[in-house]
Amino acid sequence: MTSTSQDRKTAILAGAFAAAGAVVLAVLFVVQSDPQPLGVWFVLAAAFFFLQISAVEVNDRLFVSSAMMVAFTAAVVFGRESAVLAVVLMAAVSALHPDDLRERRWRQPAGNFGQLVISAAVGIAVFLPFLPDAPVTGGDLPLLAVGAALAAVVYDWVNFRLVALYVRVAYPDRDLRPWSKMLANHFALSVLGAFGGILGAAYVLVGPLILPLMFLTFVVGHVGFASYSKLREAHEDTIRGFVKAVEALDPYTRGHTERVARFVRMTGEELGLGPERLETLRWAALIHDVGKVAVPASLLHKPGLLTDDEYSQTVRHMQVVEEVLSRVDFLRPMVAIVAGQHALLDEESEAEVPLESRILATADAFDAMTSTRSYRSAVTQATAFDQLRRREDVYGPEVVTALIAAIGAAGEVYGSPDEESAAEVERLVRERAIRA
Amino acid sequence: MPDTFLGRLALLVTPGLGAGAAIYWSAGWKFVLVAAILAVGHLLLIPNPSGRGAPLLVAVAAAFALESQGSAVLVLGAAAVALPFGWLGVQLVHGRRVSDQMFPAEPAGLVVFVGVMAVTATLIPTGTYSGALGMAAFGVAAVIWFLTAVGVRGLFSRQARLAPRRLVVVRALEDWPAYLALFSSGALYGLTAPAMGWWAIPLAGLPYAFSHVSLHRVQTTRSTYRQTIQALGAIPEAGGLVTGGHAARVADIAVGVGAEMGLSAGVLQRLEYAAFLHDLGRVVLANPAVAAGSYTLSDVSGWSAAIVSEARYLEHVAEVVAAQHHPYRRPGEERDPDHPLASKILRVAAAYDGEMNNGLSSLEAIETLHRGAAYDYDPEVVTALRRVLERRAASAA
Repeated sequence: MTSTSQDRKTAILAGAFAAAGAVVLAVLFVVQSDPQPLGVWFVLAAAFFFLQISAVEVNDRLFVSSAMMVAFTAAVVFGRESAVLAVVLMAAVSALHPDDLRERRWRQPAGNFGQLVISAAVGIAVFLPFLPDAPVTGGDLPLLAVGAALAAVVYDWVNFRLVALYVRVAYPDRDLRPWSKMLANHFALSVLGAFGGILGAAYVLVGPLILPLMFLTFVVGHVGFASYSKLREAHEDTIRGFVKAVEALDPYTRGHTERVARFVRMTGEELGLGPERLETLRWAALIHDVGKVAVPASLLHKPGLLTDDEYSQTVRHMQVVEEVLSRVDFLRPMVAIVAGQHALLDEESEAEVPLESRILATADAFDAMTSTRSYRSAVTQATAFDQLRRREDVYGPEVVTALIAAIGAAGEVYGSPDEESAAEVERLVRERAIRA
Repeated sequence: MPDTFLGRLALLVTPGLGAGAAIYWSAGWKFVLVAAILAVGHLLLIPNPSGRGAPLLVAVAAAFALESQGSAVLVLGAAAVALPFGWLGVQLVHGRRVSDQMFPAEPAGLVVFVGVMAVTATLIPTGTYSGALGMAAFGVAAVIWFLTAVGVRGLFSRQARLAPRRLVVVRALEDWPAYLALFSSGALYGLTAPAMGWWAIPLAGLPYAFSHVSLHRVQTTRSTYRQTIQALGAIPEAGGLVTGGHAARVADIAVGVGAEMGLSAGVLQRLEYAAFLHDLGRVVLANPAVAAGSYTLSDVSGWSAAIVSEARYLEHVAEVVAAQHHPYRRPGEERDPDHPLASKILRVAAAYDGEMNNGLSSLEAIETLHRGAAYDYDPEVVTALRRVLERRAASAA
């Protein structure tokens, strides 16, 4: 599809979302009362907006926004007569992300407006039967908590379906986490929903003083999770920085680690590995060559193949570094994957090699074959695939098939463009080896 | 038992006073319940980014102070009865180091808090804390508890050489998150319990848990990060390019000296990372062509700093590493006012370990450093190192 027709489709969809949202809002203005007092609505809307734009990473790549909690608090505070309108107005305002305004994007906020308004309207409408007719009392608390938990899941489900529809049209190449794998999200959001319901009741029963107290406690949580995200990033950044320095010692392997990390992810996804296993595998790919720093440069840069003795010397040096890294609790599973890769290449070893190590070894071998090294030139992609298939008994047929399928599906080509170029580079490498 | 006579006396007398007060004012079963929860509240620590934990006791005491409308007798009496049990529990569960940090800082904070609450209770016309004035009084009392606790902790710590006002500011900036979470969740419970009953527990507990989990994650990730940096720093040793254990020993000495000189937790951490990574550049020497050529220690610092600076988040650590081989002052020149103290400490710690590796005794190594003081090494750093080593020798004996 051309980019122009793609753009047109996205614009139409964004417009349709916005129009549907506007209709919902107009209907609500007719059937619901205005939220009163307005000052309280402004405070809650500000909290909703802030939380909507500042989702925190509570676990590996799982981002949760606490805006859901504020939605159910507001629903209880404003009561049946104006609950849906109050929350939908908050959702409508939060569609205006500062980044979109700064970059003058209109499609994204228009699409977000429709998606947020519709999901909020459905979610809070499901909650309405659980709200008492009379002012809230202590006896209403169990029903409010249960109702808010259920309605939060519906709210999230509608939101997800709308986002999925928009992403499929606007970004056809982008992967979306399947709904079936978002169990952790449902649980977190239903707890937040139930909590929001109880908080709303507390506001009605005790008074507005509880809001600043709640805000302060959540500020600490947000500060904590933001620091946690930053530290995780710093951790990965440090390893990447070190890997870059290691790669600088051998110009032939520059970029190798990042490519292997990409290939293992593609292969792992093709094999259906879960997010945690993929994350471990990614880290293993990042550190798999760190051991090279302890390998003497005479071996690392040797023009020509290593002798058996030189090879075992190289592996020994790398194992010493891996032993050092395995002292880090977090890195131990990744180092085990790297060690498994060595065992796989050791023909005398009879140890059972785990799937992750075979994926890493396959990705490593593919990148090695499709890159020029000090002792030989890069081969073509077809030759590399052929070589991998011949060694299926070592890597595992399912792993080789997955790597080939993933690279094919991504439409990417690695290695020499054709056999002639490969032969030419091979000649140059050989001449350099003779001169050396 | 506490080391000092006064400490032992306080531990024996306070529960008696608390129980006596309770009997005199005929406090019922609730008194026992509050005392038991306060005792257990000593054990659960919410970690601060600085690594120093704040006990759940803070939230429990804050909650009961509000629920009992500032009744000093109930809270203070119960806290006094809970004190020895809390102290014993912390000793058994967390060990002496944590116990020394927590006592007498938290009891002192609690006493001041209850005192402020009792005074302000008489000034609130409505007689209840559930109004804006009551919450303001509670906020003042909470801030005073926090400042008292961090101040007392600081005075009993290795940072005691800092001026008291600076010490309180440094510690307050490092330790506020856990205290804020504890005070606000305690206040939430105290305010809502009369109207909501048991539902007040999830209402106050969930935000507390959110904060607790987030701060706990920060602590564990920081610990993992530290382990990774230590492991990366040990790689030149694994390759036989540096003496085994050098980086870890230098880090230990440097952090000891840094704490002695009153560096904040953030700078101490930067110093420790720099010490772990200060010889990382030696991996370049795996190349025999480089190893055979002429290179200086300054080159090694440059290589190390270049590798460290590849990680954006370690930019300041790279600065410390890069400046580690700058002398304190060159003859005939003024000393560089921009030379980071952390680099000067790292230089002294690395030199000390180097001298020890050359076969010198600790005393001889210190004397060698003293001879180089004022030009090669910062005299204040060398003096601080001497103090640290003397103290360690005394505690080892």
